[in-house]
Amino acid sequence: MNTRRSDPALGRRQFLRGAAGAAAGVALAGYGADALAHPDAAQAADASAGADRTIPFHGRHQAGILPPRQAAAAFVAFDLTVSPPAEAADLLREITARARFLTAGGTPPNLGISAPPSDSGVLGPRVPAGGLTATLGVGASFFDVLALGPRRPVRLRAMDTFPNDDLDPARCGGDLILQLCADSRDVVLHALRDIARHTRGGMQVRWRIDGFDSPSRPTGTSRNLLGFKDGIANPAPAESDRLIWVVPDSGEPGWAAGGSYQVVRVIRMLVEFWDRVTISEQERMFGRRRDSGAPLSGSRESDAPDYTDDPKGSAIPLDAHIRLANPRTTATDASRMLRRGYNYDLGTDIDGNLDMGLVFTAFQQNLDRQFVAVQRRLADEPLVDYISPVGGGYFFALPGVRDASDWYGRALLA
Amino acid sequence: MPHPHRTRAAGAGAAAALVIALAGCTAASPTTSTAPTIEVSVDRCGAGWTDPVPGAQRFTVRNTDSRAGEVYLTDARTGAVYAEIDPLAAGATTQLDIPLGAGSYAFRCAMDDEQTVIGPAVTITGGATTSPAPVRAVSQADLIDATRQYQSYVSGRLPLLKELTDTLRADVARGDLAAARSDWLPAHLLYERLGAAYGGFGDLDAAVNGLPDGLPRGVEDPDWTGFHRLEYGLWHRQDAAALRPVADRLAASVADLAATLAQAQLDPLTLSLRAHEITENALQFELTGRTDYGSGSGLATVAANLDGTTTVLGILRPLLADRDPRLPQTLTLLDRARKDVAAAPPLARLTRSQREHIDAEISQLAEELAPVASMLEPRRADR
Repeated sequence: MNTRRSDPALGRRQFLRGAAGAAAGVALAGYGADALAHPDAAQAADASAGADRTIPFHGRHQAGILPPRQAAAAFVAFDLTVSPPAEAADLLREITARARFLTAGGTPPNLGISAPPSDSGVLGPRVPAGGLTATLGVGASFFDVLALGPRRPVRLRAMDTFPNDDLDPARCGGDLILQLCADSRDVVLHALRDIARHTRGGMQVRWRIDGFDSPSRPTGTSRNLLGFKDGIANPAPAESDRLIWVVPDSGEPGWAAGGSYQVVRVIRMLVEFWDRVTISEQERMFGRRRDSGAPLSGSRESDAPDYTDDPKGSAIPLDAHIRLANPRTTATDASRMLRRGYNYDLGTDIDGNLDMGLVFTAFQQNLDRQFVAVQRRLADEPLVDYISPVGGGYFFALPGVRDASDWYGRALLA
Repeated sequence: MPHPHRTRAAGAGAAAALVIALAGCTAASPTTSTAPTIEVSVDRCGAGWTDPVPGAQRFTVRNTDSRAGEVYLTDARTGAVYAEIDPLAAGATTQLDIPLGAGSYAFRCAMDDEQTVIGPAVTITGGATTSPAPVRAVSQADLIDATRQYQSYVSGRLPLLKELTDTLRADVARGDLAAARSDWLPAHLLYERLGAAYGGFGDLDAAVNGLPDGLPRGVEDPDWTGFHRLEYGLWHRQDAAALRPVADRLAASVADLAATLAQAQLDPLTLSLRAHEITENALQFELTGRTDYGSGSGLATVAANLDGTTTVLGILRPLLADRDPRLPQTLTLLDRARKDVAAAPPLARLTRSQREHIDAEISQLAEELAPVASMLEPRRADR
């Protein structure tokens, strides 16, 4: 059977029910395109968790990249089941319409007796915004399926296999990646159920992993499942145009401006093994104190690691994770990226060992200059004995949806 | 496979004070214009709607009768239904949220064992709100007629099913298991094409097409009978002596189908529910490979199931024609899905991309077919 083709006689939109409802939403606090101008406001708004909050959907950039991690996330890779670009455009319009409604919240339309209820009801009769963001990215295969090769971001490709990887092809790649993040898990799952329901004919789930952000314990950056604070040294908002967003005239296709390369890596942590390692060895592997998050050269989480007078690694070992990842030299400064990972828990494996780890997620302006360069520096670091990358992919997070008439990928497909 | 089919949820009067929360008002109109309390009873049906204005309505609907019943919000001119609360017990109160634009509306009360009563017509003028599309009620009589047509169609197929099953039985009886393996498929597929009739076959459906699920010894359980039991034996090197009683019993069960169907009272809801449930069953049991006991014919079964859906929609078409504006697209998608599934290699040999493509088509089809049961649920419109 010939797949990934479409019968022209079928006509467009046949693969969607196309019942997208739009809703007016009240913005309570947000991190959209303008968040860069108000980083302090963005930080302050985080304290509002518990109350319903709306993160504005529209903006120059997608909303789910810069703000602090929400509590719950789902990373869902889809494959297209349509191939004409016009049908892919219909699909992205539909995802846009759903995301616009879901991130704003509102009352789902009443379809009368003509159909089953338009909403699953799991969030009650009125859908809260719930701090939801819906971040959509495309993989290299998206451009292959649609025969749009020349428009592919120049560095986008199938994910590289690195020396310490143990990748399962069934958990890698995907034509699309949808990253749903919200203040609670039910909001994430409601959004996924809604979007899948409206797009069944146009895309199918390839793999999925859900994540959670642990609370700050006792203070500062939240911890990964190795017990260490993760994401301390992220770029400042003011550095975004230099490190995170693709900017015009950078050698990338014009449509890509405002987007960002997204790397997702599902990294299992061998926690039983890890828990049998002495604390000093654990801390030397990371280069930080486990309890405080302080670099081994300092005393507080916020202290910058200092390598200038430590050429032999007597304070922070030369092969410590933070030292390899970010040597803090002028030459490596441009390799920093925005990490926005989530912890995951998948139960247990066949031998009863806990299957948990990190959904490593990073956004960057230049895939090779940033993630790939860092990953090469990290090859064979001591930590690799305790972690096992099993899945993920390279994606390109599309530019933001500007306004009510815009849609994901318009500049790419229109 | 077993064919779970819904029976209608307990009717009005059987349930006490069941609260039906209808989906809310439109997103475009977050504020509520009015909040009248509406009476539901034989004597005062629809009383209380005194200040009709366009926009999002929040009705408090109270059954002030001594009987349970159903209540519909209708188009006062055509009787077409905008919303329903079914059931509403005596003394119970619930809420109905719905956006209403310009038009003429009336509540219709159908209390148990009483004629329906139509409340006063209420006219809304002006405003930008659009009401949901009303659907003309389908009566039990309409559905009974369609169900009889279907019953007659199935009866007409049963002699061929018996013939094919007897051939299969004869193959096993003379020990020609290669012939049995090739004759198993057409017999089974013909049964799978009758996907809306299983309710009419009663317990025989499990005897003819059951799975070992729920039997304590699984595939070894002596109570597992029918096509899949025979399939398991034929594709797992069981010998003819072991399979003869299985084939005999299958043929006997198939021979009993006609008499059972002739006496059956098919629930008039069956046909509209099965319009999408056949596809739901295909998604749940066939596309997952759950029912494959060796023949690898899961996708052929899906194609047969879609044939059955086509037959059902053909019979329901007169009822759907002026109710379901998407019917032409649904039929086109059904036809295309059937062709694609029929042309596909066996499930186990599908590439990931092929499988995703088929999953997309069949699951989209299920979404398209789901409204059929909603639109064709029988609603009381007598008098």
